[in-house]
Parts: sequence; structure tokens; C-alpha cells
Amino acid sequence: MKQAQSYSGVALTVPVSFAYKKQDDEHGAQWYIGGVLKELIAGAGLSKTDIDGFAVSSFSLGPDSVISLCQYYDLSPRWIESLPYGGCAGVIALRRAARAVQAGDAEIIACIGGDTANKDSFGSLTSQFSTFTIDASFPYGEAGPNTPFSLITQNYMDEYGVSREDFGRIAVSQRYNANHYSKALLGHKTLSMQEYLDSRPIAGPLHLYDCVMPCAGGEGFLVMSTERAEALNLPYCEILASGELHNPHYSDEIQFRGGWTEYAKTVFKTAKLTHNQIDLVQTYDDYPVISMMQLEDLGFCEKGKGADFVRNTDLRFDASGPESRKLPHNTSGGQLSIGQAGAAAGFMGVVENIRQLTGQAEEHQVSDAHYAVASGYGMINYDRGLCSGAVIMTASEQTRSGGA
Amino acid sequence: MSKVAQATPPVLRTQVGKIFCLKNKGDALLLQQCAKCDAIQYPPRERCRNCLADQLDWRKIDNIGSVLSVTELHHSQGEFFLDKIKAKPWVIATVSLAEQCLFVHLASATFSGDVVAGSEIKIFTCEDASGRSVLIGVSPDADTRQAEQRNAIAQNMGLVF
Repeated sequence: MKQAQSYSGVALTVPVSFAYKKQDDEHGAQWYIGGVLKELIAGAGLSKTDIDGFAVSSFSLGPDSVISLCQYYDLSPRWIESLPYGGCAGVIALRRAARAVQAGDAEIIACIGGDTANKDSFGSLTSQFSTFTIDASFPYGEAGPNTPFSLITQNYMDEYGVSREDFGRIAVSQRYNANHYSKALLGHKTLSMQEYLDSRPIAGPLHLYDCVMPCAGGEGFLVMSTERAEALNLPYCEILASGELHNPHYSDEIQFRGGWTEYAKTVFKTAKLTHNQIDLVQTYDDYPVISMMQLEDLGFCEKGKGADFVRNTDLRFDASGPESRKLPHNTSGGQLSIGQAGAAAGFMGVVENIRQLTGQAEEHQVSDAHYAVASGYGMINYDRGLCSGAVIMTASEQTRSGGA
Repeated sequence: MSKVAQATPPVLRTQVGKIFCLKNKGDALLLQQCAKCDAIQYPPRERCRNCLADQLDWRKIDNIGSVLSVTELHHSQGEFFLDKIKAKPWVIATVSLAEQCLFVHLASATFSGDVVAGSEIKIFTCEDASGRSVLIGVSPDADTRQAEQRNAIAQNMGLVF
């Protein structure tokens, strides 16, 4: 297979997390996406006409789409992308936008995920998610993604000897991180292991704190050339390597691995990094089992050793835990503690990495954050998640030297 | 005063999903099989998953499979199942059958012991309270040759009124 071209010359900048709210019966996704766009433009000191690329992911935008949003907001981009990829949308947006900038197809691309959440939106989304969902999974209990994930979680526990407490380490450490991030909807509450274990059952081994809280909100970032970012005096980070693979291992009877198994080694080799050099990692945490799967499949530990890994690793953003191995994970709390604002959750990891690598994380800043991984997973069709993506990002030389 | 309609399981199906329901109203389990490459398909599709041909015939399939995983639902987004869950969790399973993965309602009462991954399971179809055919998993020892037997299982589970 031909080696992918380098991402040199591409800058990721202006991390925006916008207007998280548990329920919103007033505003549609149009309002959230437009709100992120407004903050991206203001954050870069640009005008709206400078945005010539527009990539959007949203579940609740319909009947509008990225193209009708162009008329909605008087935009005339020369590059657009619609990204119905759920939890992988941010990583995929980054990959598509980076190549567009390198190719000269656009100069400043706004990549945005945004969704509203009214009392009916989650139910109508999950009940009609796909033809397979309509015909062959939703009629069996109407429990949405909790159904396949409880089955995946139970299989993982049986196969690899993972306990609820092991999954709890992920949820509890993320809540600690969220306690230092003001936009996390659950950040005002602490979560102990006992509270995690005692919480009410939802489906099989999944209890309350294994499940995200659907909410409204938006996430976004800008992609441009490094020259432009420096001319605008913007702190930015760069892409060292990335990969994606979809509907992987489709002959597996039940999902226990994702597409990262097929490209993680290449991604790290291209980045010329070992796992020990990674300062922080953002996994897509729709359920703790999937975060554990990502940590294994990205190569932070061997397959089946995820439980041992989380037992012996300090996942807190500030390395304040007792474990000697440190790997800050889901450093703003992840969607398990921030909330899942639909497709915006698929951008959360990339946005948080930009924030961390450019020193803008304020109260939850990871010290000496130079190399960060963001992983995407999503689109739970029927019995498994179909998308996978991952990116290794680094603080720019300019940011490291305090130039911006 | 108008009568409030009783909640039912989801009635929505795609076109090919409706055909699945029409083809599956008895003890036999019919799945699509490609006339070109013999690949079996479930969930139902409009073209072969393997060779993309559009000649998918409904064929009777050996309906004994193997349990992949079992789960108890303590919460549902639908009123019908939420009402059942008030009494006890609703149990479903995924089953490996003919190299496909099937979600089924699990008739735990038909098994003499616990149903776990690897348990043998028989699959039949029955109309639920929405009028759509759904898959039900029973012990291979359960007699399901007669419609009355199948309906009784569905009724005991609470799938029909």
C-alpha cells in the first residue's frame, strides 16, 4: 500500500466548545452550528467571508444540510463536506480538511459538529437510525444503542475477565477531569467508584454511569495553512499522522476490536513516536468498553489487557493519581461527563487536543502537552460501530516557543 | 370520548423489512439467499451483501443457532417495553445462525437452565402486538410446530395482548 502523504503545512486552530445544555426546545441544530461558526470566526480574528471551506456533522439538522446552511448563513464556500459519521466525524473532518488545504482547494475550513436536544430528538434518532435498526434491532426492546453495547460489554467482560470496576476506573477518572472543566454538564458533581458501582442498571452490565447523557451543544475547529495561522498570530497544532478504516473485521460475530488494529502501527511509525511519548489521549467514550477497546487497538496495551492497563495507569489530567504510569485520558471529562451533544461528541477529542496542545485548557491543562492522540469511533449500525479513525497531533514549534 | 390506543412495539419497517414479515409467519424461518453466490443475508437487504446481485430468494433456513450474548433491558424508549419492564427486565439475545447475527426476544422460560453465550437456541417468528413478525429464541426442545404453541410462547412473554 502506498504511504500516505505527510500533513506538513497544515494547522489546526481555534478550539471551540459551545453552549452545552441538557435540553433545548427553543433552538435547532442550525443555531448551534451557527454559534460555533461565530466563535470560530471571532477566535481567529477573521470575517465570515474568509471561511471558504465548511464541513458539518449533525444528526438533528434535517431537513437542512451543509449546503442549505450555506444559504442560511450567507456563506459561499468553494469546498464543503457533510460528515454523517457520528463519533468519528471530527477525525474524518480533520483528515478531509487537511488534504483540501494542502491541495489548495480551500484556505480556511470551519469543521463543526452540532446538535440540539429536545425531548423527542434522541428517541426519533435512535428508532430510525438505519434500515437495519428499523427492521432488526429496534423492535427488540426499543433500547437504542444500549442494546448492542450491553451485548458488546458483556462479551468483553466474559472474554477478557474485565470487571465493572475496571470500566469504572475510566468513568471515575473522567469525572475527576470534568470537575475541572466548567463546560461539562456533569462537572459540578463528583463520582466515586462506589457511586459508579451502585448506580441503577440500564441494560445488562451497563449501569447509569456507563451511559452518556444526550444533550445539545457544538464543537468546532479551523483548518488552515501554518503560514496563515502564523500570519494571524494563532496558536496552532499540527498533524503528524492519521488513519481511518470503516466496517472493519465484519466477519467477527460480535465486536471486540475496531479498525485501529489495522493502521495504528503505521500511524505511530509515520509519526516517529512510541506510545510512551504520548502525553494525552482522547478516546471516543460512548461507553467505557469502547474506550478500553481503543486503548488496546491503538497499541497502548495488548488486546485483552485493557483492564490491567487501566488498573495500573493514572488517567487523570493532572497526574495526581497514585499509579506510576501516567496517561491523561479524556482530559476534559469526555462525553460520559460532559454530555453527548450528538455529532459534536465526535469532534470533542480533536477540539480538546487542540486546546491542550496550544496551552488553552486553563484549569484542566495537562503539563508539557506535546503529543496527543484523538481517536474516533461511531455510527452504531445494528450490532456494532462502523467507523474508526485516529490522529496523532503535536504542538507547533511556534506554540512551544511561546511565539503565538 | 375517544379510546387511547394501546402502545405496541415498533410497527415501522422498511419495504424489504415488511416482506420479511410477510414471508415469516410460521414455524419455518425464511432468510434471503443470493441466487448468484448463495450468500445468506440478515438483516434483509435489497441487493446481495457479497456480490451486489439483486436476485435474493427467500429460503427456509435451519433455525437452530448459537447464543452470542444475552442482555436484560432495565430501560426502554418505548412505552410498550417500559410497561413490561415495570414487572421485570426484558431479555434479548444476539444469536449466530447461518453465519448471520440475529437480535431475538429470548423466551427464557422455555430453557431449563441459564442461557449463556454458546447455548443452543431455536428461532421462530411470531407476530408481536404491532402485527409485525419478530424473532423469538426458545430452547431447541420447545415444540413450536403448531401456531397455538408459538402464540402461547409469545403471549407468556407479553409480546402480544
